[in-house]
Amino acid sequence: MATDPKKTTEKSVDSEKAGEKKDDEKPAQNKTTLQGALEEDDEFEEFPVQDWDDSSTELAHLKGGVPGGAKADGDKLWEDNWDDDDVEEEFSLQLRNELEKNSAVKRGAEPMEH
Amino acid sequence: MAIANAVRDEDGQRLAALVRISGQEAVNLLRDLRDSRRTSLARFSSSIVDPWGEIAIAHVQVLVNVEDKNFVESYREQAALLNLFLRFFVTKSGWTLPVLYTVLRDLRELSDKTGKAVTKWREDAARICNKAFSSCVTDRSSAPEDSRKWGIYYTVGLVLKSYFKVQRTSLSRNVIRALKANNDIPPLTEYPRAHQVTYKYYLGMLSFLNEDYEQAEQELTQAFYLCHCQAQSNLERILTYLLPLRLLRGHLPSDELSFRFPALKALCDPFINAIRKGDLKQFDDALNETATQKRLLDLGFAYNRSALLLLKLLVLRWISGTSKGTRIPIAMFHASLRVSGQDIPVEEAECIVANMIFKGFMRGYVSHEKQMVVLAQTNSFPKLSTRANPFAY
Repeated sequence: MATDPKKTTEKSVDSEKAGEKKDDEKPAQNKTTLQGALEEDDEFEEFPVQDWDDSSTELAHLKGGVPGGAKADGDKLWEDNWDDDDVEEEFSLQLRNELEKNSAVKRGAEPMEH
Repeated sequence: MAIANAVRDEDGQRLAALVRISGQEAVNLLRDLRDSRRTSLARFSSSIVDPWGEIAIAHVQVLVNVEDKNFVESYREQAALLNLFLRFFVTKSGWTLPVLYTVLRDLRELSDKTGKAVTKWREDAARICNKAFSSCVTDRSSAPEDSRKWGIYYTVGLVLKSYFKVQRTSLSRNVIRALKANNDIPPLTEYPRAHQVTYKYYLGMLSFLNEDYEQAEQELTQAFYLCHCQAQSNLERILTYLLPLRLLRGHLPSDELSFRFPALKALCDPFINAIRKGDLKQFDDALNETATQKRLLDLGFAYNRSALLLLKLLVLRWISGTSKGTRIPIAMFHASLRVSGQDIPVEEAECIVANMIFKGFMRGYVSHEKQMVVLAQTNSFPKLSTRANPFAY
């Protein structure tokens, strides 16, 4: 990205004192683990061209169609499946354990008070 | 001389190239320049139509200062250039817009480089962009197709960018109000797509920050679909904010999305995995991670709002899968929340269930005396995408 060098200079300018710099490095490290290559800044980049045809829009790219011609929802970037059988089984096992453990604790708690 | 010709021919593109800070014209100008002092340049100014002599001189000062890495001074000169230019601009029609865009763009870039007092200069740049915006709105004389009004949404985009940069997003309201107050502005759809998408993105962002997620989803979705399909980083920016809103609707990012935007995958995977596993602890960790960064903080709010509900829903769903039948003891839900890493009093668990029913995540009722959740016989967990108000909280 063409603006990157500019951003790095910006950063070093912002944290002028050497002491501040150290503090700045920590969030920077977090950033790499957390968001990988996500841009530091939300500023929308200037488009190289001002206008483009329907055929160059993301919608057309996704559908091979024209904007307005198709419903906005449910394109191939999204799916609708929250359910996962494996997890479900694992979870009910954990839940059973927790319930047993819980009743065991309750039963066990009595004698300890004596 | 080239400037004089471009002004005479009303050639906006050519004129824009001549007053750009970067590019071949600037390189040539610096190379051919013998004496950059104002006084020695002044003799040229009389040969060009006013105020272009002064503008040309200011432009030379900007270039010389940029060359010397004296950015504050170059910013000041560029700001002066803009003042001169805007005076010319308001007497002309839309052909001058390319020049306006160029000098504003350069102004904002210079303001970014001003070092210690960068916020002050960025605010100043925001003010000038705002002035340029007003100068576009007030065109009442040019022919409709050649009006300065065609610069409105581009300059609005710059104003909004500037406000976001100095974190004074609340000021954006004034600009948007001004847009609404002038009903002679052509509809947004008639503007170049770059202007439309930028404007929609910032509208979406503003709604997002105000936690008006319904509006935000609408604007961001439009921005996303209209965006140029190769503008990768802009698409990514839109999706960053669209994604948690889509989660709330029950839409997960597909493999294709993850493949095209790996950075987003890294951002939302911890949340999605936590939800999938029903692991509230892991979810909180992911949330705390976002809190380490100011700009991710707002994202965290949205994730919190969306995903926490979904997570509890799944927990409930699994219990109903385990117990078979329509009656679930609240104690069971309470225990399962503990498995998920959330240790809360049983009354709170009951409250959550009641709330889930109220929000339309599940159908049924809570029997307080019997400490029992009674689910509807059919469709006890309606599809997320069919909920009436997905963003209500």
